[in-house]
Amino acid sequence: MSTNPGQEAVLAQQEHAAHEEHAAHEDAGISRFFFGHVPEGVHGGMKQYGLLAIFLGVITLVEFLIIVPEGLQGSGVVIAPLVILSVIKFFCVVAFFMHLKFENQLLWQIFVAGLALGLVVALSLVLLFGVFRPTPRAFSEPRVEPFVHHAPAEHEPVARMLPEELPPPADPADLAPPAPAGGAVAGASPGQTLFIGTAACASCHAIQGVAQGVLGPPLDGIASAAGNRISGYSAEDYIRESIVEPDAYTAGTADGLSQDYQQGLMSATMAGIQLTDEDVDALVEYLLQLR
Amino acid sequence: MVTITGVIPRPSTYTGLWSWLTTVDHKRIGALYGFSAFFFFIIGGIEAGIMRMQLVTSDNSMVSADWFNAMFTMHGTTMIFMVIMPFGATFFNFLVPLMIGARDVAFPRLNAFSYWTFLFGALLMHAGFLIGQVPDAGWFSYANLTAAPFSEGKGLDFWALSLQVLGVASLAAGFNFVVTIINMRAPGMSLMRMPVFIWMTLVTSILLVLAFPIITVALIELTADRQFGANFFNTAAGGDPILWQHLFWLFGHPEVYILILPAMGVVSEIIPTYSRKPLFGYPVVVFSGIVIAIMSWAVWSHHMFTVGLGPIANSVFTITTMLIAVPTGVKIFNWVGTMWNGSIDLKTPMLMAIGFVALFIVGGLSGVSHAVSPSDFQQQDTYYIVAHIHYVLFGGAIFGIFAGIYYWYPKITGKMYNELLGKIHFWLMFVGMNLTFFPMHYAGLNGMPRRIYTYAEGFGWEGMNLLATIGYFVIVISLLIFIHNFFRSIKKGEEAGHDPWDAPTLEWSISSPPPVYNFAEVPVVRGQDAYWITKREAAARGETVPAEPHVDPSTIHLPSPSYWPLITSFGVVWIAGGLLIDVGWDYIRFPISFVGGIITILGVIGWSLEPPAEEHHEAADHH
Amino acid sequence: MAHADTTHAPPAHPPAHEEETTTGINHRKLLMWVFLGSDCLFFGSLIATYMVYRGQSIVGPYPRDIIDVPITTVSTFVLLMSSFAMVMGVAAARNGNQKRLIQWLVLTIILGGTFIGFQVYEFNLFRVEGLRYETNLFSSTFFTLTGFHGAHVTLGLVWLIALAIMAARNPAGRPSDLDVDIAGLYWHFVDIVWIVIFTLLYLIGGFDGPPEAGHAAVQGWNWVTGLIS
Repeated sequence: MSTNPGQEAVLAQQEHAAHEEHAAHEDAGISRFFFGHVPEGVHGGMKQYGLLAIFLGVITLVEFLIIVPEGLQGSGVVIAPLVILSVIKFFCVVAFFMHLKFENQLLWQIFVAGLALGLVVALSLVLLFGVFRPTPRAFSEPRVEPFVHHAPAEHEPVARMLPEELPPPADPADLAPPAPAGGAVAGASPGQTLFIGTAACASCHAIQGVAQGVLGPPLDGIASAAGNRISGYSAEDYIRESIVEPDAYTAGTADGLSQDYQQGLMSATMAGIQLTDEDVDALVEYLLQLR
Repeated sequence: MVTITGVIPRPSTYTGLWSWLTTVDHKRIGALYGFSAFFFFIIGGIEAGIMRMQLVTSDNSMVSADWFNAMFTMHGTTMIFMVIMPFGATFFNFLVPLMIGARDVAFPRLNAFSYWTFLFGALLMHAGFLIGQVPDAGWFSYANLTAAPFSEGKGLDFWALSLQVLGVASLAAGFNFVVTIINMRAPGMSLMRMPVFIWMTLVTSILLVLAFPIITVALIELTADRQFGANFFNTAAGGDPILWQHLFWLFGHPEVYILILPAMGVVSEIIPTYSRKPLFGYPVVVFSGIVIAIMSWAVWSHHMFTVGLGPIANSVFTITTMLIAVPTGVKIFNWVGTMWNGSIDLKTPMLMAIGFVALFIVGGLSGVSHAVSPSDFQQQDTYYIVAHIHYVLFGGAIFGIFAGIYYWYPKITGKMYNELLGKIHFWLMFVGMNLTFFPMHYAGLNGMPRRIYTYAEGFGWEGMNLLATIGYFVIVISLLIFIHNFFRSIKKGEEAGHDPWDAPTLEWSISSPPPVYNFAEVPVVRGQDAYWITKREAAARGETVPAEPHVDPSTIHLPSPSYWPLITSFGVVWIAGGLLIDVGWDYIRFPISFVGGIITILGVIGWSLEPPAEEHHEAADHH
Repeated sequence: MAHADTTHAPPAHPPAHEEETTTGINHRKLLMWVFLGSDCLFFGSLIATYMVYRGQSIVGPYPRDIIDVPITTVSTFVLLMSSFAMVMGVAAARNGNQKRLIQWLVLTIILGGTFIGFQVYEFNLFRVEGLRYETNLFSSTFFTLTGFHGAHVTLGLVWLIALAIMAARNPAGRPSDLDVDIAGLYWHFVDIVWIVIFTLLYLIGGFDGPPEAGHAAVQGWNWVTGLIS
């Protein structure tokens, strides 16, 4: 492109001369800090780059040594030091090998914009899928927690009003993976396979990490609760009867659940489902594990 | 380079078909983009028409449910990726070098590559029609509807791979314009002296280069699932379909602003010109655009309120979505403030620009109404959303694009369009647009879900749908008038002169149509609205400013035409197309696709070894 | 710059080109940095996918059964050293030292090729151990992320080989120091992406999986434990 020489001069010099002079000073300072002396020009030579390479190699070795002890492998303790060390490596390469430290500030801004955005995107996805992901909630839970001061004095304490069968909320990281369609869970018990599959229990009942049905009461911890439902019934008796004769007893708020479940709904829904005695045994066995 | 010069000489024709295939002139590439975009606009419009005809009354059976699915998928995909984006690229290409006083873009061959890759990618996607394999999972193709068991056939492979190719084109164009605008401004044109259109182009291009890698990854994962049996969105293996939604909308929301910011830039040029006033609050308009671009990264999950992200995520995205309305609203006030007390000249471009502002306000307000997540639970997947997106993208982007077409028509063609026909076009399109999309607000709030291929009678939706279909035909008539006006004026229009509107930007200082070298002498910019400054100073001396006189083009070095962009694009689309080959033996697609890779590599090698034409002499001098 | 040798021919691209830009930054260099900023989003999304799906695989092999941290530490070191060779090559090009440039470029290529060799070995070992692309979430995310990184490295190798050939040809065809500089930027970027991948997928994520499985089957660990005891 041909421009008038005068115009070019206006452009190049006014906008950048001062800035670059400033940058050069800064670079010299950093080099002195980092390498002990100011290299020729603003770029490093063999010695400086070599020292940096050794430094980076040593960091890599330290990173490795951190995770050699078996107790530290995969533990949360090492995450912070490892991340810090690799961030140091990262920015050393960017600043000195990619000599971004010595370039026009604009390049630095462009790269950091992309880098920061990529980091934010990745972090927010991890947060959205991890920390902020709502734990699967039985929809039968009360949407609004009861007001404590409205509860008459003779009522049980609030803690008892929440479904006591529910296990304490799990750490999101430990959550079992969602159940696959068809129930092909590796190592699933026959009862669980039935629960998800042919017996179709999962379409109405919720078990954390296994099923999310909402029409019937959630079954987490049912093995602990079942013994208290009908006096004289053991947990196994109660569960077996609930499967075979659903209408004999319908759970509700009296059992500490959040709502009264509809009488006759389960028998109507189960009308088309044939269960053999072995199936019922397997289901009972499975449900009895849910303490 | 000397030794390689002889392999393939650079093409040297400047007329005929070859000249168009090998051109690297940004003005010609802009024209190619424009015509291609309009071609796909017609195709997307026909698809819309089929949907409107099907929905005109209850229990209609004009098309099957499957075809209806294909129609709304292709309508959305076409209009967004093959119409509005390339129309934006049309303006970028034609105007950016002219407005910043440059001879061409920074990488002319990369620019040609962008165009051909876009065209081939778009054609590849439509090639699915020829063999009856049309994508049908909606323009956002939610997983796991796109998983192989639920979406048999090749339709979604066409979708994913073509979109990947279109992404390559957009990325290349984005890189090119970022570098061009940062690095090729005329002397004196500091950032805060750039026309707002250039600013919006820069912001859009930055959004492009940052947002498209995300959809690239999402499409890689989808393709891997469908073609190579990966598990990304396979629930049976623990995969999570929601991840697709996150990745898609992480791209998709910046994409919304990629679509609308160029139109905002166009309108910001037009309103000052016809109000005879500089843009009110120029820095505020610029910073609003930047703030919109930054915030567009923080709102994506408002597309996903009903997914069940939890109260924290929904609250955060509700707030950010409401906040992004602020910089947008600021811009509206700036445009209105520019018109305030201006001596307004209601030419067609101005009418279109005012139409843009009015309709964009409607679309923006309905947008804010579903920023509120509880309210959005009622609106999700209803025609209310369809109404909103069309007020923003038709009332916004398309009106902005037509405003730009009319405004720069004299510059591009050298002729003046017919003002009366232009105004008829505007009024018909304005009425037709509102007739089509306004009733959809009511249909949606009355419960009509989007993407249904028919509906039973008795819901009370017939009236709304009939109105919408009538509106569609009004729009069609307005577009026929536009086409007539466009081509007739090229032949019979009056000579426009170099500066018919007394406009403030540099492109009007050269003759119309612009000479191939743009500026014989690179202009020096001494402030915002550079050409107004020149003209006002001349007027004070009692002179007028003529167009820059022509010079012999051979005295000015221009980038030479090249075969390699075309060849490289062809290789890229072959890679994607090869994976779609299905001739019984499944693995044949890999070697075929591999051939495309070889073509691409050869193209790149030829490209990088191609001698810059001007170095013939220099190289000869050295020996 | 400091000491141009006598065979130093005028650069293929006259420096006048660089001075014509508004910012004083060469077009291609600016393009490369914008591309690298954009590529951050590409790898960011791939890494995010890996992290989101971390520990979600339903069936094995899990990372703990198969990831060989000691061996990958070696390949990480190799890639780091290739970055060092590259930066020396860039310095040589800037000083106009043709011979040194070629030497450093060849060393970079050898080290980069070694890294790819390690990756091929690793992928093949995983395949033999029963971890195929479609096996589980871990395999899909792992192979996609590291595979695209490997593709970047391979592309960089092709680029460097082209530069080395050009540099070895007659002086008229030799790459300018800017050509080497830009290729170097790309190469270092690939290196820093690997720094992130190494930390997240190997040092931190390499022990994911049921604890009872252990990593007895992983050769590198056997070697390290043997060394310690």
